[in-house]
Amino acid sequence: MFRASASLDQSRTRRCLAYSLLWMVFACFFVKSSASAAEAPKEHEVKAAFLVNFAKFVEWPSDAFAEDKSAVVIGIIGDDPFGDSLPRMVKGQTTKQRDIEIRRFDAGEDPQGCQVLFLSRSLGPKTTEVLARVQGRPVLTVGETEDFVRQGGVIGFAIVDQSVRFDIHLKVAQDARLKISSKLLAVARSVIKAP
Amino acid sequence: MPQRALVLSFGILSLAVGDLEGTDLDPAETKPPEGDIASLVNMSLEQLSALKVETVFGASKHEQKTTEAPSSVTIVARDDITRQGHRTLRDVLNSVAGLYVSYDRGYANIGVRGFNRPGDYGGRILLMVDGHRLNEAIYDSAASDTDFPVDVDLIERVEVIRGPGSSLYGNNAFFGVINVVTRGGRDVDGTELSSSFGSFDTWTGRLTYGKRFANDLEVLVSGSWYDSQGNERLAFPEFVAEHLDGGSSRQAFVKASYQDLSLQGGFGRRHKDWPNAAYDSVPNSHDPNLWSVDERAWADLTFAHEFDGDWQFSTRAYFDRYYFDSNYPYDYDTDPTTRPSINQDRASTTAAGLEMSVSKSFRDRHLVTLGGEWRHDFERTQLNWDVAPYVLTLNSRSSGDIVGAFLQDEWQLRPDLILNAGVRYDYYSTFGDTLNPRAALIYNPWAATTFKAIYGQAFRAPNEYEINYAGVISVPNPDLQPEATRTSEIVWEQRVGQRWRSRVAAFWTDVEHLIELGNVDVDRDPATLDDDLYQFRNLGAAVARGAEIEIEGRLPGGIRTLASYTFTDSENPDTDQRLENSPRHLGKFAVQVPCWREKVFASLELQAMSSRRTVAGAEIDPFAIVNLTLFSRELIKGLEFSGSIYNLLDQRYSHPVPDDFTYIGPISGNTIALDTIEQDGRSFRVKLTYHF
Repeated sequence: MFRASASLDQSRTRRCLAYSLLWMVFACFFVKSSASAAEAPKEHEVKAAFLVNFAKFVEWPSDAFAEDKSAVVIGIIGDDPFGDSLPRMVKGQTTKQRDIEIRRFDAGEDPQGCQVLFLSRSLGPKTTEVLARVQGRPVLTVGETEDFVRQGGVIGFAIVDQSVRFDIHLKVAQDARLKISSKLLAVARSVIKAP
Repeated sequence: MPQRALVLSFGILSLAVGDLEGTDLDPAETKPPEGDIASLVNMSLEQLSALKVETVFGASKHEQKTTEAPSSVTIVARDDITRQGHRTLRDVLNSVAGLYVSYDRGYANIGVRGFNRPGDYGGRILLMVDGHRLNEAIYDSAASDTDFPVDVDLIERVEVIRGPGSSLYGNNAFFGVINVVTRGGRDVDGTELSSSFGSFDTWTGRLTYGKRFANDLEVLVSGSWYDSQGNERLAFPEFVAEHLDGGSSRQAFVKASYQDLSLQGGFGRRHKDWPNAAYDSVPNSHDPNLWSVDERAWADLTFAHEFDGDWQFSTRAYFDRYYFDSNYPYDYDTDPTTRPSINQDRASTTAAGLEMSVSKSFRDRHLVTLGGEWRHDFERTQLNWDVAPYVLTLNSRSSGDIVGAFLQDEWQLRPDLILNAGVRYDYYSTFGDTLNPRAALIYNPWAATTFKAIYGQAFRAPNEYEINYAGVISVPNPDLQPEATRTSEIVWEQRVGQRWRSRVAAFWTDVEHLIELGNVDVDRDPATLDDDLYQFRNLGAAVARGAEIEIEGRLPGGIRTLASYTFTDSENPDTDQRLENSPRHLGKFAVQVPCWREKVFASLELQAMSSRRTVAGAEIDPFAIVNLTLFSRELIKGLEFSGSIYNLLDQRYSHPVPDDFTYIGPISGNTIALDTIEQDGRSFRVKLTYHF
């Protein structure tokens, strides 16, 4: 009695199965048709794209640049994790009529003349030392270690739910006389206001 | 990184920080084409934030990219869980390729790739919360329904790692490992208040507070409750169960971390009424009625530290307590006019253990992990008695120890080739020892393509119930040996553009010494009638071969799709018949569509499976169910709303139940074997979450 009533629904089940198969065929078709599309992004390619965007969504005091038309310089200190992705992304990009340039620094060097400074994970415990070196200067420090913003960095990357996100320390940014666009603040995972 | 922080806090091992990203071995070799990078830099900040960089922890006990894991891995993220309106871990797992959860209105049982034996409480799956084992020592149960002690709202992601995992995790990692990673205090960052109402008069509530303080202390505290009247009327052969499907649960969850130390504690108590008159109890009996209670409590303290020279050290101390109680109405005097007698079944176990591991990478070529575990079960108690007149029918008490040690090496043979090999030795005071190896070759010929060839062995130790449960008609079996499995798998993972990802797998699994209830001739004299006595014995064997395909797409406009299909050909080599509760075809499809400004989403889920054989040899009809969820966030600041309709087409479908789901039919007086149990039809839920 019990099973007999269940079989009344068999035709509907078949229909559902047919629809599900149809959908899967659709999905397969989409995969094929997009096969010529590009490769998946790597974590550091996404971070590189963010770096270029940061340069666009932050305002520096005028004394941060040598001249009116000086380029915005993205410095990388420590091992460069971006390969050639960052140089290729920077090509042709401008922000407020300034070009964007890349400069690399050794871990021991004083990173002079850059407006954005990316502190590579390879710095390890030296991170705080480098942060101390640029403290007070109008430099947007960007890092990717766990406690970067707590250590006095302005923007720290984080992986959340397998996506690249970032935290912003507003107080540190203000101390460095940087103005961060509200658009950037809105996308940040968290914005720290207190010291 | 909060994700890594979680892993470090609650994981057993972790890599040196620089290795966690794993992929950037040779940027020149793995560079994407020009156009791709240009498109990245031109994406909006929101789009960049939503791009996925996949990592998984549970497959090798350290965080790694899914493509480098020595297994077929699926990750369900928090976003998918909320947008698709999943109510319990059971809902989450039912959306995952190759998984299907049966439900008998008492417990939900997790099945993987053709294996879901009725009456098995999911013991062939290892279920963990932040790396802490939840399968208990009495029944091995992997609780995934309302008895899963963590609220789904607290889940950051669920890692499903298919295939044998005993080479790292020991017992229960037989067909797969499910690691539930919970949210941290900083992810909640404030207070959350959530409540839902749904069909069957179902109410839930949750209050959570989470914060990371300036002094590095991170805290999460949460409490949840659940109450449901259940399905009002359920028709069974010869009787209708009225108001006998209700359930309730209370849960508490605490998490705190400070620098290298982290502490986690949880408690869950679930009460469930059973409408199904199982175990020859009285049909539709209300006073007393058939019910069960499951209570789990645990605490876990972990210290993880990275020392100079790439030494990663981790140790954890844990405590677990499980308590089970149940009430059976029996008509001993066979007079339906008198009140049924009560038989009570109770079990409890208390355990504490230590885990320690150390890993180090050598010359960037080897990542070697060495670890050990010791667990002591202070008590494993099983009791059964009749209440009035009081007759104690079972009083089994034992204690025991488990010692395990494992070694794993992830060897970068070439920039495009990894050999992941490991072995684990386990000693059980109940049955002796077992050795389980696993090896995987992971070949990455092009940036978007990964091939894996995996071989592994795993075991499931006989549990306390199987060894020592004895009653009027059953006897214990102290000589039980562990179940054993050997699995080979080939996986092909392919990314197609930035938007599509596919995984194709072919697998072959061979199981022996399966523990089944058999007859025993106690006095070894075939002439006497002792053969009615039951005993768990290593009787069964099984083979399953199959293939699985999973395709995930992230289309323009934020549309996300996930489709999977699993084909399994399973067989009991002794009978040449397909295994019970083993669908040949299993298909899933889900699509999430942002309807308005990344604030309103519609999600559709479809889950279908072909017919299944029941224990009695009947066939259950194939079925397909559709779930629809509308989800919105931030329409009002801090407020999330979701409305779901489950089983939208009101499909009638059933799941198989074990052969001890029998009762005396009130009309015919015959013994009726239930064999299958009907599931819920169309139902709905609305849910509000407020964050402040």
